[in-house]
Amino acid sequence: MANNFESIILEKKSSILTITLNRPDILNAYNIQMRDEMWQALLAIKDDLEVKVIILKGAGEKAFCAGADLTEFTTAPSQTIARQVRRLRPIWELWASIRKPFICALHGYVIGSGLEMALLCDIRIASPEVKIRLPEVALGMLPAAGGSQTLTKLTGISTASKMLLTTNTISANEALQMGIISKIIKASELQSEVEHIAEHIAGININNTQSLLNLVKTGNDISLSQGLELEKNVNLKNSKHF
Amino acid sequence: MSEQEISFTNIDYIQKIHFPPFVDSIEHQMILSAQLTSIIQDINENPDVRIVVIEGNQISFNFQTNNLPSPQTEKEMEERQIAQLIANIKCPTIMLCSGSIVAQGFEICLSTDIRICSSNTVFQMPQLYWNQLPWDGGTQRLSRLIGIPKSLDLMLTGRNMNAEEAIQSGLVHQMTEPNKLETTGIELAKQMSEYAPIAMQYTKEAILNGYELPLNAALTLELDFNVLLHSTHDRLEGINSFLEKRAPDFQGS
Repeated sequence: MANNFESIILEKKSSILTITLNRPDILNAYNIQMRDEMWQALLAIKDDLEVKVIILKGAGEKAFCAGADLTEFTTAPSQTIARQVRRLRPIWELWASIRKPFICALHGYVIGSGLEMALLCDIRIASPEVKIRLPEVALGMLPAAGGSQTLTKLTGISTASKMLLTTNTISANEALQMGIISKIIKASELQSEVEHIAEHIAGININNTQSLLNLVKTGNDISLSQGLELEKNVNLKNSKHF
Repeated sequence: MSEQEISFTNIDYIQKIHFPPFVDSIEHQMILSAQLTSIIQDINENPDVRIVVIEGNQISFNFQTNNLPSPQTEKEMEERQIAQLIANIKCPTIMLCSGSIVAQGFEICLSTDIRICSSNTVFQMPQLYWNQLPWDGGTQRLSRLIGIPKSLDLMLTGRNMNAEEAIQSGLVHQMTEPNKLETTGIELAKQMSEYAPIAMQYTKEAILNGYELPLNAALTLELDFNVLLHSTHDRLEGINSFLEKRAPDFQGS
């Protein structure tokens, strides 16, 4: 896997790949370079048979990711070009289609696209001082990394409306209650906790992990009877291998 | 204007819709529905409305107090529906909940975006016990907002849900003392009225419509709203104000 990136760091330790957002001087703000490097990393993750579990975290002490780097937003291509570019490199759709578990360690500021990247992960653990916010409507925008959809599907319409329309900051406890994070772990132990979970999951049969993610995620997009049919077929297909 | 009608005021981008304390006949229900139809058309065409605040009185928000019979025809149903009209408001809606929010009152509550309640509020969906069904969107919106288990519990038992349970369920976003409800709600409305109006409308639409779509189609919906926003003055104003560390001046264009 290529590792000449600047805005992110990839480290592979046996079957666990850690992605570190690496612009700590500017709170790991998401920019075009990070988008392009994440795109390359996600393509590699999808194809790399050795990678079973992915950890996503942010460098530095202040932030997981404080959102998009708005200095790059003042010049935008035409609407048709902007749409075409995104359709040609559908990074969030690619991320959502990867059937490998992503575990996300959140600390400090988790704002805008920072939270949106976290929402594309499967398990989110946060330290108690975390500050979670989607400020887009206060900036004349809408989330652009899937957040208006991933948050709504994760927490339901009511909670998503509250976060997206009021832009109020959410604490770790509130995020836990809303189901946005599954655990609060103090900052000094966050890294080891996330690694522990990753190792635990990496120990099970990757085929089953992938099938499970497929069933849950695809199942969320189809009717219950279609989902039950899919579950049956996946199980019967797997059993032929034994 | 009679106190049995809906009253409304528009101050500084905030449109208040004040419901009468009770509804005592089908005719009354139809008057309110017709009145709202025309108000909401105006609201959706008025660029000076960025936030709608809906409120009743302190005691109750129940438009079927006398157990009015269910609509017998589709036409009658449309003429008596209110939640459906509220759901058509394009900008974000905040409901200030107080007292007993019952039946159609609860259904209206479910068709708003943000709910704040006073600590004395109870929510109830007792239609089965009146030998009726909810007919203003309740059977669909309740489970979409608080999930199937709690929705079934509330609708099958007809029991009360108090303010604390409503907060825990995610239905209500904030609870206040009864005498602070109005100021808390107006404060939030003022805060939200300073956000970019088109971005808020699109966000509301993205949440509600995206929820009904598979994820991939939903992500494309979000993308389409994003590129549409590229054409607005407000997007650039939002970015520039952030970079220049000043408050934005959104035009709604």
